[in-house]
Amino acid sequence: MLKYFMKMVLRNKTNLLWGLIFPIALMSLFKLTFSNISSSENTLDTRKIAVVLDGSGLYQENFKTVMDELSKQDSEGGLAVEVSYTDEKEASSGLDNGDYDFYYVVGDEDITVHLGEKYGVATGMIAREIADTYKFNMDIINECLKTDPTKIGEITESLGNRLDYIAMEKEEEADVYMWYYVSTLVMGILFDYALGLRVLATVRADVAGSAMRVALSSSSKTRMVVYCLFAQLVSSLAKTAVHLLFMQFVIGIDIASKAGIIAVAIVATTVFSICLGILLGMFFKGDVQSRENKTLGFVMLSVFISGEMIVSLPGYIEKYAPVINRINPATIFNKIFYRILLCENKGDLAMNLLILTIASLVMLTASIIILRRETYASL
Amino acid sequence: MEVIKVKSLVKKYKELVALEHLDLTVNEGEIFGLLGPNGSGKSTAINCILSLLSYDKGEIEVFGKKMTPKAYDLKRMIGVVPQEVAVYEELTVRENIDFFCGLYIKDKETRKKYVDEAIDFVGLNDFVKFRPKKLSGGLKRRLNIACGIAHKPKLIFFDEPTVAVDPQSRNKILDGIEELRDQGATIVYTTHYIEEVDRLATRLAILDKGQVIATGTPEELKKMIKKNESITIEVSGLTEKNIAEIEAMGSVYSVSYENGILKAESGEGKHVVTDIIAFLQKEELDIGNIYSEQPTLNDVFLEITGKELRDE
Repeated sequence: MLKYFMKMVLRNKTNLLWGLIFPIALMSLFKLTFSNISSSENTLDTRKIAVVLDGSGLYQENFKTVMDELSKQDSEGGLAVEVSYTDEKEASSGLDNGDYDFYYVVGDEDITVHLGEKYGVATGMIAREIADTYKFNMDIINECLKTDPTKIGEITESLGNRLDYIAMEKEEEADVYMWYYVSTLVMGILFDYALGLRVLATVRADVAGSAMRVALSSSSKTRMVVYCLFAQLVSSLAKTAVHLLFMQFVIGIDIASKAGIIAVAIVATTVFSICLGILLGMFFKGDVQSRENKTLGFVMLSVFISGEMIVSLPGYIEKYAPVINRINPATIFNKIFYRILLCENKGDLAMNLLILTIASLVMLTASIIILRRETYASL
Repeated sequence: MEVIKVKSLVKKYKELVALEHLDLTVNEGEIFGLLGPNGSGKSTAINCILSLLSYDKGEIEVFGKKMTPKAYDLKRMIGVVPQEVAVYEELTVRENIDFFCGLYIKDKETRKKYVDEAIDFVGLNDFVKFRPKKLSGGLKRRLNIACGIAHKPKLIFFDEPTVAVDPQSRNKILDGIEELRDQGATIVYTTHYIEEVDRLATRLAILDKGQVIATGTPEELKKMIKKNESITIEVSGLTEKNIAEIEAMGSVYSVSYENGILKAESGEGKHVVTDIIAFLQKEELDIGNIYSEQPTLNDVFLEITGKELRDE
């Protein structure tokens, strides 16, 4: 029986394409793209910023206050910011010479960001994050400065934390492009939702006709569920192993030295993804194809808002709706793998892994209860 | 021996009553037809009997034992051929049959023998390595049947197995069902094709709106109704007086004449077709083609419910 479940998984071309080949193709594309971009940037280098105050109004004055506060902050273990005030001509030539990483021109109502020709992804994100934070919080900053100027420190501290988040807190060898590979790896794992749907369509009689035969047979339902889940899990782990080997030997990311913890994370995230497919498949109604489309929509959205296409998106979400980052599976997976590959804070990693493992076990239990059902109210 | 005994079965979908105090008995060795329009409750009845659907009231016994979802000893003796082709697209014909047979038969040697026999039975020997998507509609239906009967069940449910099947494949399927009965299996066959039940069924039940409205052998059911014979004659120049005289003949209870076609229906008693022809000859009228039909199960359904079986 297990042999046939394995055959079904291995012969499913859609799974092979989206689960195995597509992530490798995407990583290859990133590799090609990033090989043409300067890789000399270390995200934790001090950012040298020039500010051109084009006027002397409240807008410029408050921006200067914020930048001064930001540059004063303790940057130990995080990102340091060095701010110079100058005119646009000098800022521009300084940018060309490499004296500045970027510069702002601050008008009466807006801020323009100027980046060098070969700016790194993290630098671009940092430049925009500072400007956007100021613009979006203008009213609050004004109020603080009028009533209690000391509170401006809280705003800049929060901003500083987000910049650290972008630049990877406490990281010694941060690779700004790693995010893309990790996101792609996570996308491949989340695509295992399709395997969860396959389990559902194999054993739930109200989802597929072939499952009705299984339900009516004299075989134990639990045994069928375990076989089917096991086949999906094995195939998924094998597929992810291929992705990791690709990252190690083709992309050049060090996986081998952290193989143990990565294996734990892979098993937990894979179980989570398969169970997510089962639970979403039960939640959505319709035939198998319709359920698959709706679940795919959910997974794509999850991957998108985790920053697969727009790296700064999780930062914006963190600012306006942080709860989404806490519950979005793709963001959670990204953070776990990113922490494993880059960060030294083992405490946070262990906590994240523990939460994920508990969540996976809860989902697995719920899935088995759902899948073991033998009698239905309607078909 | 009663293979299936259903007593006062009630199944509701919220406000909709799908089965209303349904009573059924299926005896060993018979082909029992469940006939009814779409939505009459045929599939619901089968799924309740198989313990796949929960039900609100009633009792179901299979092979003399109460049927439950965990009655694996009973399930081992049951085969199901569902309405839709329920196979795995990633497995070949042989692998599909082996997979579903493997749900019942654990011994590899026995299973191999059974799978070979099932492939022979449905005539798929030339297609064993094909994936289902490469098969025609008729061949897929045969595969569907093979997957349901490979483990040699004693009781087989066929749920509309000939829907969207070409006439050649349909005949092959119907022949196969008769062969299974001859081999000792009890068959429950649901359909809304009257001619299939007429050909196959030893006994049948007609369902409408979740109730059995008539049950018996096809002949018994046909005798239940008023109509005995339906006569159609091509004849020209028939007058109203002639029609009135035909209407007055013995058991004739309905006569119509339109566009040179005379239609007469007679009830119980002797056949009147010869009397009508003699009358038309005596009147020196030109007679064309003559047809005489016995009542069908559709006539039974029409007379009991007031609607055509296929109107639904």
